[in-house]
Amino acid sequence: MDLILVGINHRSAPLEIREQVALSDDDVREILSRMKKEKVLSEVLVLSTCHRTEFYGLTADNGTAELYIRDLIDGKKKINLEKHPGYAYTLKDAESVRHLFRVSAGLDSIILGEAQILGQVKRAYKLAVESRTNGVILNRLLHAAASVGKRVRTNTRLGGGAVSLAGASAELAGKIFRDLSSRSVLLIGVGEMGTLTARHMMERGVSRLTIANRTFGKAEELAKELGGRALPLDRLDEALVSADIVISSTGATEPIVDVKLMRSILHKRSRPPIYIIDIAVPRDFEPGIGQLDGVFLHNMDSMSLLVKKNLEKRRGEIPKAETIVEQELENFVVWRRSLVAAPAIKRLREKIEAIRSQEVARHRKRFVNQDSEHIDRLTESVINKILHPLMSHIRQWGEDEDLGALRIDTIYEAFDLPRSQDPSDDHA
Amino acid sequence: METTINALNILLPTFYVLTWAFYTLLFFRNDPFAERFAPVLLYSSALLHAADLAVRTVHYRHFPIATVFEAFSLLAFSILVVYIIIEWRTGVRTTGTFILGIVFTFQLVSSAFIALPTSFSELLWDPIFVMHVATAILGYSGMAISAVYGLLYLMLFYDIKKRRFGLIYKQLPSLEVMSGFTYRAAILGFAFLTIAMVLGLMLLVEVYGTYWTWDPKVAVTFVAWLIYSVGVGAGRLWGWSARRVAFASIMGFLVILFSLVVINLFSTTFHEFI
Repeated sequence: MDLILVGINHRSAPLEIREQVALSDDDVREILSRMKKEKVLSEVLVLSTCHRTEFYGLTADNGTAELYIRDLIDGKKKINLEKHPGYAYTLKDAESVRHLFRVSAGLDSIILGEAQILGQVKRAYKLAVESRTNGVILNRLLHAAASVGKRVRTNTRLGGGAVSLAGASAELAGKIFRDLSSRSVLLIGVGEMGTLTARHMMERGVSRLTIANRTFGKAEELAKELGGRALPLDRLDEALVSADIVISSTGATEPIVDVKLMRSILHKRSRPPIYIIDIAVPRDFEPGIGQLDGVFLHNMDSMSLLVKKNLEKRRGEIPKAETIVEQELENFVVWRRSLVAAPAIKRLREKIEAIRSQEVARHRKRFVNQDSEHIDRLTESVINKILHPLMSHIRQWGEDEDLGALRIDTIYEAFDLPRSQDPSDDHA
Repeated sequence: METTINALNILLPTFYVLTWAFYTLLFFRNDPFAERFAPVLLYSSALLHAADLAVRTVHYRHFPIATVFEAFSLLAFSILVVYIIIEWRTGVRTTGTFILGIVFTFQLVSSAFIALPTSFSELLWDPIFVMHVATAILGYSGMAISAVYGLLYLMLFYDIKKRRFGLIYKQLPSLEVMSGFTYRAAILGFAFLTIAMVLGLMLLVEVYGTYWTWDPKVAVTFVAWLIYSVGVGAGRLWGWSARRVAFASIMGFLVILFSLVVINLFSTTFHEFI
């Protein structure tokens, strides 16, 4: 049985194809139950996110399995993979395992190191468990994938530092203030970018939000949505006196706050500094304001610089994350190989034990009752002594990548051991 | 006993330089190995140093404050203890390298020049004198730590203002945390220095029968005390920004450092009159 992966992601297919292929949870459930009936793959898992749809399965025949999955995607989503075979990729065995581990680590994501993917991988596994398309191999594989994701998150900084403009604004706030929950945000203007930045601040724990806008109604609307209070723009001065973080994105053609006004506001403020993110183009705050003591004035250029630096740092963590992936891959491969040995050992032992107990039973009458226990112990001991070196060899062969399977096969033949279709049966 | 003391005298700066190296590695690289062993080294050094002070006190039968170099070792220990408290309370390890460099330097100077005093001042057995020195050392420790955090605060402050998102930005906690460290350490230093000065004045009256002496150390320390009282104490009341408080703390410490190091180069005793 080999592992196979057929998938589509941001590297292989354009956005419109990825959108088309993306599967909802219900889609996944439906596909899994169909695949379970059709029995081309013995274990299946479907991972589907916005930018990735991947089928992981266990098969005895790679060629058939690959065509089967491709047809399934075509049939369900009509993207004609036959015409564009490059949209989907196929990986086998260790390569497919490495791929899943890299996905779980966030190494394969559009945004390097993003954390959501691990949850999505876990979700995909849950759906497979619900549909009972999981089995020994996928159980172990997904357990290892979760462990990769966790190790990468705790032992590397692959996911460290904000990599979106809004996230970077919030990160910088965390470098100025100790605890954002006691800080207040003033949002000037109700533009999309400003709103997103305010949301990020709220996610970081900011509890008080004031929204000032020229059209008061819009401010009220947004305040209701985000959980803040609205203020007309002509009361901006008073709002600036009490705000710790200011996000400004009005459409004004002239600065709405000049150095003189800011000085008088600073005069009325108590000690803590004020952090202003000026998103507006042209700018809402006169650049000279940034020179004043107690003011941190930043614009989108600062944020993109911070994002760039953070991405560089994340890239620097790739080797550490790849090492973790390779370690877990090695563990998994060793475990897979041991599966070849385990059933052989189990069957050999069963067969010999059957012969032994049969022979002992046949000759039991020749001995007095008191001796029967001794006979059992004696014969068991002889068999164990003979089998012991053989068992250790089988175990060693199981770890041998090249000739192991062949040697174990000889044991099956020599002892005329029964074979099963699926080696994982012995471990279920 | 002498052998133990001599061994400790070499071991201490060795441990400190190792601890410092690990904390430096931790600051620059977030090395997991350093992250695990830096705190182990930190606590080992502290224990070793405590043992050293205890052995010296018992064996030489005086608290090790008889010479400037004995006092330097105590100062290193005191800074270390204050730092351990800060690290333990906040969990911030990335500032360790800046403090431990100072600890190592003081201990190295002490280890290199430490020698038994030729004559013991009777003052060594005066509880007021012992308290005077102990509080002065605690005061210096607080000021040293405050100055280091003040400097780091200013570095982070200007890095954020000027959009330099480098190591300092990445590794230091927030400005508010840094200013908290600066301010609290300065308060601690200021309080102990005040007590030390009052005790010193009591000794001056008791032993020499005068209220003032033109000893350079007393004069310079008084200047530093004024800087702290204005910069840290009253400055806070007038609503000074954390940046100005940080400046004041650094200035105050520079003056103290001048009194500790430069003046001692020209005088054999701690104060002119002892």
